[in-house]
Amino acid sequence: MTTARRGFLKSLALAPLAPAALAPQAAPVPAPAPPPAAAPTPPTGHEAVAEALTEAVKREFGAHLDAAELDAVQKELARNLERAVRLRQAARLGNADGPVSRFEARPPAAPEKGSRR
Amino acid sequence: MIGEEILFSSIRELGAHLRAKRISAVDLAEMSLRRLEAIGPRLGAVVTVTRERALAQAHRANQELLAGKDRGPLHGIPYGAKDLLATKGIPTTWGAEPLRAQVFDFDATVVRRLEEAGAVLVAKLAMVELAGGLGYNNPDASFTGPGRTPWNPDHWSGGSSSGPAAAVAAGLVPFAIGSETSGSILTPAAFCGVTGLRPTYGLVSRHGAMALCWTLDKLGPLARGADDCGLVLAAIAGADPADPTTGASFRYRERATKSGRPGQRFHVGVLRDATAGCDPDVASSFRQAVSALRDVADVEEDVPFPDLPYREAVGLIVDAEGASAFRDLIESGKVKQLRDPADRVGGYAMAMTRAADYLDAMRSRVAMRAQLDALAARYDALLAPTRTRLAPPIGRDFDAPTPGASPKPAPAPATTPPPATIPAGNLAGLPAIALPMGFGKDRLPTSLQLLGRAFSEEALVALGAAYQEVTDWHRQRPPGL
Repeated sequence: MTTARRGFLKSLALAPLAPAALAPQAAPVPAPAPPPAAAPTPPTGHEAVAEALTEAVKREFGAHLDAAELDAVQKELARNLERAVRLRQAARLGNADGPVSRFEARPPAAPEKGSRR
Repeated sequence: MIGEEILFSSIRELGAHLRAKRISAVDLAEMSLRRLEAIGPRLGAVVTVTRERALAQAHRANQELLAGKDRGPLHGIPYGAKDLLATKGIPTTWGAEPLRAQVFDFDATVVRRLEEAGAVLVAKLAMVELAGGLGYNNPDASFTGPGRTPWNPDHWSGGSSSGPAAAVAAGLVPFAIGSETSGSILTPAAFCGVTGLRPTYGLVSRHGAMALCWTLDKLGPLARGADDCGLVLAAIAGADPADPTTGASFRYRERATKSGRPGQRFHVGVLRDATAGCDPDVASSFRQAVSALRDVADVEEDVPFPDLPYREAVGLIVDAEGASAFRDLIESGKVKQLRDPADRVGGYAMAMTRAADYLDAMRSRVAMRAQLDALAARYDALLAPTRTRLAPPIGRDFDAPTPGASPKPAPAPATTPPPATIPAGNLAGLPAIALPMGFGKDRLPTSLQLLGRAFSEEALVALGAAYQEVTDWHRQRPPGL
C-alpha cells in the first residue's frame, strides 16, 4: 500500500532537492589516473555490512537470484543501512523510550477467518 | 433519458435519481458494468468485473427500495474495490501475477459493510502488485499493466490504488475503496483528479484486506467529492472484533463544523515551505486553493512542520513488516514472477532488515506522533499540495533522469525541502483528504491535501465539502469520457 515507496517517494519527493543528480551532466572532466599498483580498497562502513548481508541473502535465497540481482540487493541494503543511521541520528532515543506496541497478555477470543490477530 | 454521464454524479444525486425512480439500481449497475468493460482495460484500471454479483445485489436493492426498505445513501450505488479486499468466490489477486488464482471464501469487513449499506460491487479494481510493498520503480508494476490517469493516459494514475482512482475519475464507478500504507490513496487521488480520504489508523477494519504493514495499513474511499467520501466512510468505519486496532466510530453530519454549529469558520494552517521544490503549476494551483479556502476558513500562513525523519522510519517499518507479511512469496522465489524488476529483488533486501533498526523506528514513532498531534491539535487542517509534482509519464522509471532535460548546469538545489506530510501523516496514523485543485501542464490534475488530527475526519470532510462548494474541479470530466 505504499506509493512507489522507495523508488517513487525518493525520486519525486527528493528530486527537487537534488536536481544536479538527476539532470544530464556536462561533458565529464577526465578523472585523474589512479595511483599505480593500488591494492583494492576493502569495503568500509555500510558497504562492508551490506556486503556481509548480501552474502547472507546469497546463502539463504541464492537459488532465486543471479549476480546482477544480488548486486541490486547489495545496493539496496547499503541504502537501507544508511537510512537506519539517519533515523538514529535524527531521532535521539533514551533508554526508556519504548516502541509502539500492542501486545496484550490476555489472549482475545478465537479469531475469525482472515483476522489480523 | 438518463445516459452514462450520470455516473459522474455525486452519491446524493444518484440516490435522488433512484428514489425518484428516474433510474433503477439495475440500470445504474448495467451502465457501470458496460463502462468498466469498455473503458477499464484502456486505463489498466480493472482486474475483474463482478457482473453476476453486481446484478444480484442491484436487483435486491431495487426490490427493497420499491418496498420502502431504505438502507441509506449508498443503497443501489455501484462501487469498485481495490483487488486486495477479499470477496467470497471472486479472485483477489493483490495485483500480483503469482496470486492471480487466489480466491477467498469470505468477504472483507468493508465489503460486507457496504453490502449491508446496499451498495453494489461491480468490480475488483487494479492495483500496484502487493500494494508496492516491495519497492516498485515504474508505473508498469501490475499484471494488468500500468495504471493510466484518465486525464492523460500517457501518464501514470498513481499508486498503489491505481484502479480505484482511475475508475472514479473516468466515471466507471461513483466511488471505490482503496488502501494506504504511505500515500497509496492520496497519490492516485491527486494524479487522477478525484477526492481521496485516508482515515485515521484504526477507524476502518482491515479484516480481509491484504496486509503489507500491520501498523500502517488503512482502508478508505475515493470518490467524486468530499461529501461522497464522508458518506462512504460512515458506512465502513467502526469497531470490528476481527481487527483489534479498530474501536472508534465515525458519524457523518452533513454540513458539520468542528463544533456542529452552523456558520462557524474553520481554522487552517498553511505549512511553511509547502510549495518548496514544487512544480510551478502545482504551486500556482495551491495558492489559488488557499485563496478559495479563505471564504470558509481563517488561514494562518507559514506554520512550521516538525522536521523529523518520517521517511526513514516509514521505510524501515514497511521493510520489516512487509518482509514478514510476504515471507512465503520471498522465500519461495515467487516474487520473481512479479512485473517490476525492482519488486523481484526488493523483498530479499527487506528480509535483512535488522530487528533493532525496526524497533528504533517504532520507538521514534512515539515522539513523532506526539509532536504532530501537538501541531494538528491547533488547527482543523494543515494545508499542503498532495504531491509536489504532476503525474509522471508511463514508460519511464521513477528514478530515471528526465529525457531532453537542459544540458545547462543544473540550478542550485532548493535549500529547504517541502514538508513530508505523506510519510509523517501515515507514521502518526493521521487522517488526510486529497481534493482536486486544478490542472497543470498536459491537463494533469493538481491536488490539495488537508491533514488533520487523529479522528478529525468530520472536520476534514466538512472543510473539503465547503471548499468544493466554491470550486468545481471535482466536477470536471476527463476529455472523451
